[in-house]
Amino acid sequence: MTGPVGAAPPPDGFGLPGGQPAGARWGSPAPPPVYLRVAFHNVTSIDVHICLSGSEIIQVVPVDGLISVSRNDQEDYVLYNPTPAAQSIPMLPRYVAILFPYDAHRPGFSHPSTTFVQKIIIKVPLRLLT
Amino acid sequence: MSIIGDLDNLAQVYEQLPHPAWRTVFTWLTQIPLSDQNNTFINPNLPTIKAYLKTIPTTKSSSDKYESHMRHIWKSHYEMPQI
Repeated sequence: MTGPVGAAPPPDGFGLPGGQPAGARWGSPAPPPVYLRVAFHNVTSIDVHICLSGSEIIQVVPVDGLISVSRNDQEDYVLYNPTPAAQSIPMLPRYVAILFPYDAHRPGFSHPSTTFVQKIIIKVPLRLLT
Repeated sequence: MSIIGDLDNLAQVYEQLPHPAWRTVFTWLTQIPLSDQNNTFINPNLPTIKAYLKTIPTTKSSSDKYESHMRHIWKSHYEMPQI
């Protein structure tokens, strides 16, 4: 495979929350961590992302152990508080990423080379493939 | 685990996707007019499969800026999450 296997460095400014907040000290109460609510879990469909031009980084993390914060059955997704263990997948032209219901993901982060991505996203119902 | 590959080597992708319906999906994909910007396509043979062709800005932001960025994209490009 000549494709984008492996993790890329996270883009600048990309810091997953959940760690010790900046400025916290011993003996002082730590403020509650601030979480992003934008890690997806497709409940009944598989996502296929194909990059046509531009680029992006998609963060992927297994849903096991994630804490859900909301669920939308109509739109078929669950939002999670992500963890720092997410993998960064660089998406360059002609790259394909297939994300299953157990892959929580966060798309749309800038790859260093561009500030946009032209892509196809296909929603494939899971029941067609089982 | 997610599967990562490239369009130039779909054979290796198929090896990891043994279900024959995947070939139907990718065959259909090759027929989508990529010059048709920002559109939604429905597979005539499998109407439950939808494809979105989009050009979206990416972001370097973390924390609340990322959520704001994605909320804008979803609102303007997809019939998708209201968070």
